Amino acid sequence: MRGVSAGAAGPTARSSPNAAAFPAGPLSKKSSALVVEARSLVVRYGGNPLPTLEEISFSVPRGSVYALLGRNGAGKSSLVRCLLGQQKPASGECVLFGEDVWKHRAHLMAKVGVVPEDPDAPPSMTARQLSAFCAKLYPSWDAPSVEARLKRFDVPAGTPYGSLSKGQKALVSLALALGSAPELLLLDDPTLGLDAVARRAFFGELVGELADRGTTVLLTSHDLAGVESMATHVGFLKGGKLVLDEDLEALKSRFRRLRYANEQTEERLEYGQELSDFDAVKVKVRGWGVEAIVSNYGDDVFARFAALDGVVDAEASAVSLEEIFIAVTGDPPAGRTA
Amino acid sequence: MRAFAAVFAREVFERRMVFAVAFAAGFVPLIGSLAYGWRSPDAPEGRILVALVTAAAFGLAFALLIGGSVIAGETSEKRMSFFFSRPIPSAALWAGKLLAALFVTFAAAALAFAPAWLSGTGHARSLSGVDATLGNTVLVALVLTLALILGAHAVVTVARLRSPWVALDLLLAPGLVFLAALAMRSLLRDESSALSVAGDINYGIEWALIGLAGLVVLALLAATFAQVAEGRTDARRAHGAFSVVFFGIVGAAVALLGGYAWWCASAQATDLAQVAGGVQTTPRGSWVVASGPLRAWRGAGAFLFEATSGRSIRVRGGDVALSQDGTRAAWGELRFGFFERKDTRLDLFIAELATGRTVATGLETAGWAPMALSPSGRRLAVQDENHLATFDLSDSQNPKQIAVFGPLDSRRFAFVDEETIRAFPRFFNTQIKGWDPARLEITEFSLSSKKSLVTGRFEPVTLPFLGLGPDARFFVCTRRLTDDPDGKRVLTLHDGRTGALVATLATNLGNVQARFLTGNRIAVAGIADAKARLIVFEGEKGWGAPARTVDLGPTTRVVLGGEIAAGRVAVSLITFEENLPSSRRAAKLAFVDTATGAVSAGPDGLVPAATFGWWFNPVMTPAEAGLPASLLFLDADNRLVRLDPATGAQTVLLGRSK
Repeated sequence: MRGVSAGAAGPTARSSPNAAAFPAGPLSKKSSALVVEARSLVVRYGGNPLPTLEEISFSVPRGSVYALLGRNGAGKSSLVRCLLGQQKPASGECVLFGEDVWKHRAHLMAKVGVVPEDPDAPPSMTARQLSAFCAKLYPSWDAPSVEARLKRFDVPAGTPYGSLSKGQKALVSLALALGSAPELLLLDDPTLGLDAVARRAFFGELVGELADRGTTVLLTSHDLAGVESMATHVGFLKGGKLVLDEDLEALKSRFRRLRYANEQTEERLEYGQELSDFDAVKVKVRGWGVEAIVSNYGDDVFARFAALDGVVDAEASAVSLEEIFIAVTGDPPAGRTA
Repeated sequence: MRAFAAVFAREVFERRMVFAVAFAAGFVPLIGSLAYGWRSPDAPEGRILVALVTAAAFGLAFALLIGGSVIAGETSEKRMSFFFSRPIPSAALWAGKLLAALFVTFAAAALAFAPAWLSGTGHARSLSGVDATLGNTVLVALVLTLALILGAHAVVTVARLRSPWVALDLLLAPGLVFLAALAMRSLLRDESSALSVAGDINYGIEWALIGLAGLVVLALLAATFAQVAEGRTDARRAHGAFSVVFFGIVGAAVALLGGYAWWCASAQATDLAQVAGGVQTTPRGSWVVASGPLRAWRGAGAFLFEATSGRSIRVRGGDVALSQDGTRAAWGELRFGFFERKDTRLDLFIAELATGRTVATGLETAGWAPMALSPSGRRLAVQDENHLATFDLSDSQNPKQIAVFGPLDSRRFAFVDEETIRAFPRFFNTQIKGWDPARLEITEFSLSSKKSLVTGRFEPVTLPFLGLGPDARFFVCTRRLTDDPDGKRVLTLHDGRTGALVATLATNLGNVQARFLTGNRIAVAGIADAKARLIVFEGEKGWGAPARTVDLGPTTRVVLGGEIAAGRVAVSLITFEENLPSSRRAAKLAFVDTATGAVSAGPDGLVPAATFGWWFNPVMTPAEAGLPASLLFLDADNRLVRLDPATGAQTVLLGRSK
């Protein structure tokens, strides 16, 4: 059985060096179509010899929804700060709309809507005042739409930001982020700590925006269930490294759960030998048989597998993004156990 | 600009309550005045003063509070990301926040002051100083407010961003303050010593301090900008950018200041732009004391300078005493605290002229104490307060006290020989009623017996100056015979021990000067009937009448120099009274053979340099004929020039051409 990081290359390989183990789908497009690019990004803090982000390279095509997933401390927020031009990387560069974001931050931010992980708006200002402040900064600001969203969210527009609940703050941030009709939405774990109602409202609004305008979205999250329904691409961050970067459909199509009874034959003396044509990332032997998750599922390979002597009642089923995440990173999402 | 205006407006709006509080506080002086009597005569001034204090307190408090919260506080609270994720240029963010802080603070102080000021009379307003100098007051208040805001910001940056850069801050901040203080101290020390050389010298230290303070404010501004532009939301990087820029600018300024101070302190005699007045010489040897302004903003300085080798020793003090054999010099340097000079005490220094080494004797004395070295330089006499202290300098680093004489009023004194010191009256106005006749006494102090003896006294006449001859056997002095300033003047020769009149050397001779020459001769020069005249006296028996009188021609001023060769003295005739370079250029140098009265012309434009001793050194022991010091002249640019009398060749030793 091959391990997940053993350098296998599949038919959908992408150029990302970090994604070598999980070759991705057909995302190679012209650079002009890329809204976000990270090029060999390295971030270090202070005298720490280990980088927080190590040689990260990925890109987000226009109109896509890229979900950057990872546990706490994986480096998601550092990456977002770099992508917003708020933090200078030790090496490498972040490019938004073809321009270096560190050098052209102010100009680029006119096209970007941001929802931060931690609420950062001045606590004494009300949502209405924040909207009025932003109206002076953006070339086009849709104050009525901000008001309408706040109303929809049932967030009081006249209450100081510091007095709002965390969920309300996130919704205000989203309303402000969408107020300028941005070309790119950058959401840094926006639903962290939100209750189910607020999370539903947040994602509902986001999905509506995507449906209306096709805005490019880069979001970090460990709410895998929440992002699975809207993401078109995913990246897995683990320990500062991008261990997977792929089109979500392609990813899900090549990951399958296999269940089968396994009978020993003269040719196969050991369990697991029957999976040699698959990249099995997780194998469990149960009383009724074997359950495996493979990362290079194909109907033809499965047909050969099912026909193997000793493989009985083989069936393949889809796996969730969360299962893929656990299988690939070996980590459960934050707050969950494996 | 739009982003700047938005940030500025937001910051001001957020702190709008400050205005209300300040405005309400502005009525406190009025309410207080109502309680104590609105119409009382002192009420308007009282209101203004209370309002001034209130406004200052508000300004200070708001400057510190707002300065501490405006950027560094927001960075540490992770709220700057809100602004950085908007299309706001870093410069607009920096300027908007800082100017808003300045505006809010200043406006709050103005609001707290306004009600009382508006209710005040013209007199009361003028009392505050604001009315008369409104523009300057506002400007100074703005700069101070900005400095306070930036200072508070800097402190919060160090304290709250909690980055490793704090170690650099804690190391560099006191280090740079200490280095700047050292540099300032060096400049102040140089300035205080230069004041004794050139009274109007100004090192511009006040402006250097103001400039340094201004630079610190500018460095804080630049550092804060770097913090915003380079650090953004990264607290560690923001702190680093702040520290690097601030300490880079201030460090460079302190380095420049330190370099300037070192440059000023390390000046040599060859850095003199010109030699002021003349030089003080030793009867033997080749060392002279020269002083004057230094070139290129280095102030002024006094130096012991060896005319043959060019070696020099800086002298940070007043008068220099030289031993007659030219081996030692002594002077007192003002004791200096860290920043202020202590006029009351002097530290005594000895220069071993043979080696050029300066020795701190460890002795101290009262400020500007007269002192004298014995002929061999092995003994030192210093008047400390009202006592005359004597020391054996055989080991100059460990001087031993020989005897202390006194009490003694202010005197001039000189060693007659190694064992005997004689004290003479200083310039003294006998027109003052109730003067003590003892002040005119000549007193002799014996170092061997440690006893003093009054040996004679001066006549009660005015004594403009005095010159002692070899071994203090005789002295010359000029006197007015009447109280009339334009009255008849005489130059008289007296017995050095008793003060008895020996001879009248000249009568009614203007600009009179005298020199004891080798071979027991005296030369007297002066102006009579608009003509320069040189009178030569020979031998003690012949001092009753001049051996010869040499008429040098029409002039308005004469300068008598030393012997360029045995029996040949240098005399310069200057056509104009004003001691200006133009008058120097008009100087006609002549060499007079005192034996024959023959006059030969020297190069034009030169004036004998060794005239200093007439005023400051009571001992007028004749320099050996032809010594380097006797061949020194000042040219039209006040440069010190060595003249070769045989060839007329001139070598510039000190000073620069203008």
